[in-house]
Amino acid sequence: MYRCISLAVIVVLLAVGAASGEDLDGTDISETPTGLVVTAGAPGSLALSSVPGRPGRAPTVRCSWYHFSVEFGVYLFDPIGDAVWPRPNWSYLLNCWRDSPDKPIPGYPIITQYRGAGKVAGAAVDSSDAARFAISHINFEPPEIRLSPPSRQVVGVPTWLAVTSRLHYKQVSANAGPVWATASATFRDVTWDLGNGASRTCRADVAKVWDPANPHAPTSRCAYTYTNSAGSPLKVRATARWNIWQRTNANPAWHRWGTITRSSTVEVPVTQLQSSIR
Amino acid sequence: MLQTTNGTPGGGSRSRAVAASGESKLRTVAETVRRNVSGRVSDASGGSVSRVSGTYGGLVLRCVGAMLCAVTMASGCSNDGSAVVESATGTIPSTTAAPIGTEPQASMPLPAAASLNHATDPTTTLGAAPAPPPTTLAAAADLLSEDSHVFAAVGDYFDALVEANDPPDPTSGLFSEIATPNLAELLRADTQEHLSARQGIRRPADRQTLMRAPQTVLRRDSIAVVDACIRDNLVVYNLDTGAAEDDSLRYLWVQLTVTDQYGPLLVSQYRKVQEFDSEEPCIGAYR
Repeated sequence: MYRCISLAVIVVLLAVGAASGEDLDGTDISETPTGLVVTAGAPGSLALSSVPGRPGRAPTVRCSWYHFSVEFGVYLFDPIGDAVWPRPNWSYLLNCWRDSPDKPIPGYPIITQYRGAGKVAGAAVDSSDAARFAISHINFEPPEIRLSPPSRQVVGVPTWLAVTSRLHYKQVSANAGPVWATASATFRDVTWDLGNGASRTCRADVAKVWDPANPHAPTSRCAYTYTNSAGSPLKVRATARWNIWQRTNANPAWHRWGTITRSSTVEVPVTQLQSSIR
Repeated sequence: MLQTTNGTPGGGSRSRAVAASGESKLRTVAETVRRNVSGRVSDASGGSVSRVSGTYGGLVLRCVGAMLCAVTMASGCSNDGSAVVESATGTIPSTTAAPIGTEPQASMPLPAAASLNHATDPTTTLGAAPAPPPTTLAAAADLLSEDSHVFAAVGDYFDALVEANDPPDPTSGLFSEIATPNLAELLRADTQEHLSARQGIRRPADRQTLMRAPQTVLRRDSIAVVDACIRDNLVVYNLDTGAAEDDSLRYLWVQLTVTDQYGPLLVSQYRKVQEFDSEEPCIGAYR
């Protein structure tokens, strides 16, 4: 009878543990009888990778969240005690180690709020760190502004707005031990501040420059016509924007990271040709 | 640079210990801040500070605990008094604390500035905590609830470390004004090391605020835990020649514990979490 009860207890426990784990996304999550353990990359081990979606060779560190107590003005915790199953936005003591929990890697343990299993605060490398690292190595060029006509703009005559710098980039991947991320940038648009309070956002013809050898080419859909020359010369600013997508070990499906922008400014003289026509 | 000292591991593995800290230039104040400081284990001094543990060791007991948790789930199972409630995985929150393992202090290089990483010895702390006057306690409680006061205590801590190391004066009364007794003792020891190494720590000509973007990450019981980015451009200099030995610039994410346990707000724990080349990622790491 006692054995049956014990067996039932264990079965229930395992079921509960499995259910807890099912709620967690990613490949860097493991379970122990006592709490959540996630794997992360060793501090400083981030490196670019030519093979997307692959872990690196750097050491793996493990991290867990612990309760702590406060006495006599200091927080205390038991590094070889039980880790916990943390709740998002609750404060815990986060410990990361390589060989044994009682030998934290430098910088740990720290008090931090739990932000999810894929988020490890501090120097240990998590998937978001890898993604940021990869993105930082997409060398986005600032917009190279090319206006048509190229120098002086004329009131009443459309100005073609173009950027001739690079707008499309290859994916970049990075990893650190078991952690990896791939980032991809998709060009979104160029926003023009025309220097007189007007602005335009272009998604088409963003790089179209007037070609004297082809005067009958269709007009650019990214153009602006000044109606007066007040304030000339004007500071014209172009801001290129990319949507950034990422895949990580914590979420292998492509998902949005955010946007990156780069800007450049040129000084543009605007003149009226009215008097000279007369 | 700023740095901190911790005790050495002691007592049983299950004995109570204090979360130690990292380091900074103020150990050689400059080096402490610059070195990778790992946490240190504070001596928990055996049974006098050990407590009854709520952690069950064996799997069977864990299973029983889990069962009890399941039965009493509505009430949150057991809790060690902290604000966090366990999930139902069979873990019984532990009330036992042990030393936090960190690199031995002796293995760390001595920075030219000041060491700021420090941990306190829980044994001494637990045994020697004086009872502040009630009026002081009430006033301190108010202080701890205000970010401005907590941040001021942290700012004073760094200012005092620099002042006490320019030139190094292990007997400076500043330590006891900015740190708890155990941490102050470690700071004095660091300062003595600077003195022995004939190194001082001074502010650079373009004096700027050391602490950037402080943020309270936790306020509980008698402590507030603060994250901050330290712009460590302190200069480690040779005491005999005055020549700069280390004037590099780095940014440190540090975490400090401020307590009102002793009346005024004092820093009781310090840890260097991570080092950066620029300010933005340093602040972004904890915000």
